[in-house]
Amino acid sequence: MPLTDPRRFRRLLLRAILVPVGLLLLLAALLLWEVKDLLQTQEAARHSQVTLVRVERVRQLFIDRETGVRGFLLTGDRAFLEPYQAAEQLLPRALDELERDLEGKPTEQARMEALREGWKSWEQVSMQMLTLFKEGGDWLSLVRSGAGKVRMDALRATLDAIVAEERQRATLQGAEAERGARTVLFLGLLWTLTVGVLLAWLSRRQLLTLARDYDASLARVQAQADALRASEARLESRVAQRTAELTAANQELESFSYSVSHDLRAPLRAIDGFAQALREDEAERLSPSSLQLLERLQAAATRMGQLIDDLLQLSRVTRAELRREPVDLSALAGSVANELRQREPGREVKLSIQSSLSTRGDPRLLRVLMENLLGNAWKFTSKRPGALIEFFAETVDGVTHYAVRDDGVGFDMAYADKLFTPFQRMHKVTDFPGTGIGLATVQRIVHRHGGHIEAQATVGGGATFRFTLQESLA
Amino acid sequence: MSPQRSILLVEDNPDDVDLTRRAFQRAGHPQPLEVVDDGVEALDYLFARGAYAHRAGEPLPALVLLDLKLPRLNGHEVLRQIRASPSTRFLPVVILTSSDEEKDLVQSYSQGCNSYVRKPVSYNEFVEAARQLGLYWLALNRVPQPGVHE
Repeated sequence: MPLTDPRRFRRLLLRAILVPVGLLLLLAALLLWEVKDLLQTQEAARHSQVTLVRVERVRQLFIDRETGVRGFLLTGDRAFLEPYQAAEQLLPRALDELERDLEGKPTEQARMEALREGWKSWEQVSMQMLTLFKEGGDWLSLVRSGAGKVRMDALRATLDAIVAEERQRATLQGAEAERGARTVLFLGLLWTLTVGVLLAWLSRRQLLTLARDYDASLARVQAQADALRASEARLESRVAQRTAELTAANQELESFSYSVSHDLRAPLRAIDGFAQALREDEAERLSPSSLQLLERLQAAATRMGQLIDDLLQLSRVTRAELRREPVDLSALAGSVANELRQREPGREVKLSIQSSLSTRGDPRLLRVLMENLLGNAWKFTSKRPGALIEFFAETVDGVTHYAVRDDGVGFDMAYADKLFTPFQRMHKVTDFPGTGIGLATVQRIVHRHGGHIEAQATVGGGATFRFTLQESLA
Repeated sequence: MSPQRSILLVEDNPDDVDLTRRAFQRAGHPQPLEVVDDGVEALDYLFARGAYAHRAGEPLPALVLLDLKLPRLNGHEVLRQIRASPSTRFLPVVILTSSDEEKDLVQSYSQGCNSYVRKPVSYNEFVEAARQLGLYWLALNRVPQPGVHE
């Protein structure tokens, strides 16, 4: 899978982050655990210290009892009994505290039992001594018998045993804690080293993969760029070839049009001219019907001449190079209207042209457009005295629509889709002359300007032609 | 006015020649119509060369009606040579052709034609054109004497 696969790249990044973080977290947990262990050991040591202090306290209180009795017996001074009596008050609590400290240690519990027993036994002996002393008995023999000393020595020995045990335990715990710390330090070092080496190895591997993928991608991109350049060059040469072909075809079309304009019109002129000559020269010898036939011959020739002219114009509109310059449509419409008036001065037509309508486009083609649209309006209002022809603009959805409206004969909207097809006519030639090429020419001009044209009409209610021009094009 | 100077028609189509001749007659112009049917001959006639060497010293025609599409030398080339020569540079030349191609119009005017008339298909219109041409160029218009320099 290439580096460019986003899932794989995400996985790579995730691993690069997650693996080190995970390993470090493990290390941290280990250290935390070990620190807790050390803290526990420290707590145990402190506890041990407290126990030792308690033991010494008990020992001190025992000594206070013993020395108090001994002092009193030797001097008879009751003042010596003060530490003896104070120790009696304090000893039970001190013993209880020590016992609590030693809870959970069976050997120590046994020693505590021995301690309590031993103490009780010593108290009995000392009570005996004091009683004998008060009663004037032989307390000295009892002292000499060593009964008190033996008991006190046993008590001391027990206390020493507790101290020894406690010290040994503390030493053991200390050693264990030290060993644990050392192990953790060693393991931690090993762990850090391993993790470090592993991470370095992983990173190196990933970087190498990345570099490899990058190289592969670069090579692919370069190959694609090369392919693109090659196909671009192929396209360019194809375009150049097509352009050359098109230019050739255009030139052919142009020379064809030129020939048509020259060569087809000449025989027509001859037909019309000689028919006219015949009518003039032989007027007296020809029958009226022959004269009429000659007239029809001439009309046909004239009509064919018009057809050729209109076809030529249609082809010119298609192949002419489109110019884009400011065009005053109002002035253009006015000029076309004047020509129409001059051609038929007898017509009574009201021409209403909205002022200041200007656009950008090809002035020659737009003139042909206006000639055709206004010419049509002029033609199809010919049977209506006082006809109205309008040229105006409307804005619909921000787009300027130009319109030529007349109140002439109109046409049936059922045939509207054929309106812009060459040679398609809506009326009989005998009613309104024409070749049916004008609106096809108009539509081509509008299309070449990036616009569209549509017509609305009713039979007898006039027609409106609306068109747009793509004026934003430079 | 000097005796009737001719009209030179440069036209290779005999039908058009006949029709033009009839149209000028119908229009009532008395000037004789001389006809040559290609570009080379037209120049020979005007410069009194070759077959027209005998015309040396004869006055130039009052008007040249020049078709554009001609054998050997076309109308544009004929017009160029007429304008290039001091003796004919002021000669009124009317282009009389079937073409209404924009480029023909532009080229003709840039070469210094005096007028450009498209031959109409309708004979009656042609007669009207001939009448107006004769009226204007043969009666109304004035040109400097040949060979005059500014």
